Amino acid sequence: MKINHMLKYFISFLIIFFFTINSSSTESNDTIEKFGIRAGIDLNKVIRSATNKDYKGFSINGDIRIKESLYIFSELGNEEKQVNSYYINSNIKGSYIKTGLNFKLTRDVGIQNFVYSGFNIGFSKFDQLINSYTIYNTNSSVWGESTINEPIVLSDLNAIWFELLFGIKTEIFNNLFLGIELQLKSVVSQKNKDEITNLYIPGFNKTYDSSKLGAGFSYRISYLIPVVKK
Amino acid sequence: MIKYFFLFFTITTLYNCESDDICPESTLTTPRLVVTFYDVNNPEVKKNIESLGVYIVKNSELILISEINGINTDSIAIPLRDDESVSNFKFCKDFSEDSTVIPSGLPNHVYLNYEINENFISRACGFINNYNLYDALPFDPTSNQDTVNWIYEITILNDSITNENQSHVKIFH
Repeated sequence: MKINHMLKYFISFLIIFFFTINSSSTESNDTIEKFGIRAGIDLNKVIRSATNKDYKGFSINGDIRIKESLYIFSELGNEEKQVNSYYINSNIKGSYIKTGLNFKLTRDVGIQNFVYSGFNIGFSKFDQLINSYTIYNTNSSVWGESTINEPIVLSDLNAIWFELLFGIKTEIFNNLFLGIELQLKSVVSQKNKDEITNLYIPGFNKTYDSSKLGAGFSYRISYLIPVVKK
Repeated sequence: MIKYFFLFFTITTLYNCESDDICPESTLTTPRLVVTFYDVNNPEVKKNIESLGVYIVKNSELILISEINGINTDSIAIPLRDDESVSNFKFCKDFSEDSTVIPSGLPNHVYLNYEINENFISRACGFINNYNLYDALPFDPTSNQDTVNWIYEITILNDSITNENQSHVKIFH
């Protein structure tokens, strides 16, 4: 069901990109060797889903070159994460979209091997469920601890964040790319309910009480669908 | 360029290592009920209780609060029950630790009825309870047995229990 949904997004995504390409390729006359949409998935999410019991996630991404060293990037994803501690057991589930610009930092145009930097704006819509919680009471030795198993449902939460990123991409086979990307993120605004912190934001990653910052890591495999070859 | 990449990598990984997951001991915890003792003949003056011991009454069993085991004091802080909105105590005057009798000394029942409000504190500590005190009685309203009453009256000073900075309940004896 989820994959089906993703597929729908993915296809519409591709269609939009094809249109953009068709309209922009006529006016571009720079020395781009390969030109097209690069579409891929985040392997980090696939690996985490397979190895961690408390995480399930998937994302697709695409980028398109609009200038010699300028790319428009976009990613769509869905994540589900359990955040458990001694006092709280919670489950966060939701989808996100992020989009932004990537700048190629290496000069050599011909080689499809490059370092880039950029920024993204992300938006996430999610639900947080507090399954059970234990009241924090340093004097609980007297009466005993009180654990409440009545879930608290916090639905329709959202967050907007900004991220700065740094990445390396390399062409391992013809048109097939592997890349690592690191993101430093900052929440711009978020909606929470009952004054309960959003413990995890899909797409943003783990949140911190002490600051609005966060960090992310992507390990992407992507395929460049050649549209125009000059 | 690779140099910057590694710098960025170090910053982001270090950031991820920051621990926000341990509940620090300095965190505001669930408050206890602060009880002060006053002289019934002179209601403005605090009066010490000689050798006070306090038991909790949980499932008709008496368990002594270990810090209140025969102390001379004019104020105490007692934790309230978190899983129920009623707490029962036995306040014992002339308590003796050596006594094998439970309760030891002169017991007086204290009944407290309140509303529990859960407050979210932080990711690591979760929720604490605050209370809204409804009734504070020097007897057990559920039993008609009369006990030795050295407490004349209990008055609620502050029905909202959110911290331990001021007294919530006055006991006259």
